[in-house]
Amino acid sequence: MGLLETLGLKKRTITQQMVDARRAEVVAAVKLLQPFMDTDETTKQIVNQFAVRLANITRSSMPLEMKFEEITEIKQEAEAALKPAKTRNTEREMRDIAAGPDGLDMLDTMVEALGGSAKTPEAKEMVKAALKARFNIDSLEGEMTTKALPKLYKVLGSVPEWQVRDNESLKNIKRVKSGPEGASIYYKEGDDKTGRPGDFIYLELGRTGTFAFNSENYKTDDGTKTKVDSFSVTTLHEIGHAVDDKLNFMGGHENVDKYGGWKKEKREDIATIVATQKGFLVGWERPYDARPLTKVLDGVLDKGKIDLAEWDRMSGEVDRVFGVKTDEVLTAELLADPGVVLAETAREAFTRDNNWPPNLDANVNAARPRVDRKWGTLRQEVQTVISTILERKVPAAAEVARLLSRLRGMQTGLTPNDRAKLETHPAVELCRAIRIKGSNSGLWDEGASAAGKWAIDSRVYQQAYSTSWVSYAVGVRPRGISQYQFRAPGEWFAELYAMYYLKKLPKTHADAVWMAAEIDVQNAPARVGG
Amino acid sequence: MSLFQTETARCPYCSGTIAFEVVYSVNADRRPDLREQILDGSFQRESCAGCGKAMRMQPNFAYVDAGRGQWILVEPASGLATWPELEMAARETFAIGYGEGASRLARDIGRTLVPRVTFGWAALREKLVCQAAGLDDVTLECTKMLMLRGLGEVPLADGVDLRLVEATANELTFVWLRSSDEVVAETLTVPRKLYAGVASEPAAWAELRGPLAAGLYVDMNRLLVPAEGEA
Repeated sequence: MGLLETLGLKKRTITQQMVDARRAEVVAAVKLLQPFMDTDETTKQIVNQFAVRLANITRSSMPLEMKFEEITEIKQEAEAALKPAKTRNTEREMRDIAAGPDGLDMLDTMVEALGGSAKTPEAKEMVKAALKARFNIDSLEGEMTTKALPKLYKVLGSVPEWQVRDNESLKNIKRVKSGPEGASIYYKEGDDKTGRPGDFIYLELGRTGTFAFNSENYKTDDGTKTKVDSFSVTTLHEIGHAVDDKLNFMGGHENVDKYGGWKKEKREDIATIVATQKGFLVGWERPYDARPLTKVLDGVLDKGKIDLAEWDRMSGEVDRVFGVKTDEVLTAELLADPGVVLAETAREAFTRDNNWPPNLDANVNAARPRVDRKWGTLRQEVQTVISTILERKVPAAAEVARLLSRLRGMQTGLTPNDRAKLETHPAVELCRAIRIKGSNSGLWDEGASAAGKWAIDSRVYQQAYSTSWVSYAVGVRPRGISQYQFRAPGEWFAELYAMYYLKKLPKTHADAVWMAAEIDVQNAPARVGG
Repeated sequence: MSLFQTETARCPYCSGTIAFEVVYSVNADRRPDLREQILDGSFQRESCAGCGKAMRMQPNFAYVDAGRGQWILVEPASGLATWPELEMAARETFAIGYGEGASRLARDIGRTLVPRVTFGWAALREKLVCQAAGLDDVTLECTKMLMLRGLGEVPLADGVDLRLVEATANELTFVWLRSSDEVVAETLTVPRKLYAGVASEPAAWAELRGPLAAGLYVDMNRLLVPAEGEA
């Protein structure tokens, strides 16, 4: 064969001799099928078809190249027919055995004789055939390992026969086969002609002895690393949560420095603390009301960005409703509002008679709809005055004065210079820094220096989870055993619990001392707070 | 809480880097949303930023749900051949956390938990469905074997499993699926009475129940999958 032929660039010349040789190969392949013809109708039909096709090709006047190609095709089909013929033959033999006297026992003995392992292809075929014959299985798809087949045989043999026979529930099973994608699950990897089924794939990260938890998560602020077994530490960590929940330990020890000084916080309260402590309420070109300013910080805590839309809207609305009216005129109008009058009259009566009803809902609900519609979108603000008059027993004059002051504060929109100052204001920076990053990273990951940098009055405020805000005493950081423990009170306890029971916490460690005295005790400790 | 760690993986399609928040521990009492994600199949899925292909990380974490009495060491489907060692590892981990060396409270909690080890997402999900439906997992595995025995067709193969996916008052829905990527070949809707029939005859099933319940790995594969190196 020349180079061109080898490369498939030149067609081979087919001779009569080559055709005859290929024909002889077909005959040889068919001969191997002949032993099965007597007992297997399928094989008999296939062999007859091969004979007819071969005779037709021989007789025809088609070119030698075409004859060679077609005879080659028959040869391949004849060779491929041998395995199924053998399988059918084995299955028939097994069925015959099963049908004979003590046949089922004989099959069991034959499979048992393999010693739990079908090592050769023939042995595998035999077990498969025995499975089908013994347990009336029509179809046994897919490849199974050498040892799995005899195991399956044993398992099916252990199923109580009487539960199978005449079981109505078994007859009522509905089966729906999936399309081609589902059928492909029986291909071996690489056999799947359609590529990976589905539109996503599965990844696997090997978990090794150097898995990140070992060195990363158990790193203290001073850089000390503690190696721990990852599964043990995560298991103990979760048990720590369960113990904490059961004892209400952290919940019952809020704001106690010994236990980290942890507190659950409201986001709005943190905004107020930051606004007050970080000079956000003063130093502007114009005096603004504290509420819209604090609301700006609350927005940064919530969404991470400055949103002035509400302030701008309110500013425009207050301008529109208030117009050029003086505070005296507005005060008089507000105090004469029908809703406010009704609420104030009720308050005065309850106070005079010293007879406040236990539930004021009816009074509030009666007064709120009476608020004049001339207040437009500020009507809702006036309605809150009613609630305050009745529920907090505040005289109308005082509450109206407070509302007016607040709305006047909002009437003044932020100046361009003040808007520009917002982005880099330390309070805004702080609010951004203490927010959670993604779903599982936050200030707690960033070490003692970041915690100290953003602490206010020795407390670290931070977002622990999407809707959960906490604070802790920054003074407890030096005795920390991991970064993660500074995420939330529960994590603080769970991490300590894990390290304590892994015996990685020195007995003299401040947290080991109370852990030993209050948690690691013979009798189950009582729930904190009863 | 549940523990996550950012890990990077290489995209098999575009070789880009994908950052995964890989879970190492799921606490369903504190994060019921993660249990829901496991049930709806959305947990631990990400898309490659480069080519947009969706991927799912094979599971390898500890799952605890004290409220429902479940503790499960979840292993990737590929670990099945080493199930005896992983079962032993699960037993040891459980003992460290809830056994003799643990706190009194932890031991009390441990007594309310049923420890298990599973391989692949479908097997984990099955344990959650099974518990939620009030089914006993040993009886469920016996029911599967009854199905294998009585259906006349056995699509069982290496890496192909029969898994419970849904349970109602009257029916149980199973699928035949490839455990490595959960491609489903067939869905079977089974009268719940089939399970009830198995449950009502524990003595008849003792020969299978015994070995099935012999360890933390309660799965039909315990009886079918030879352990690596098994003589």
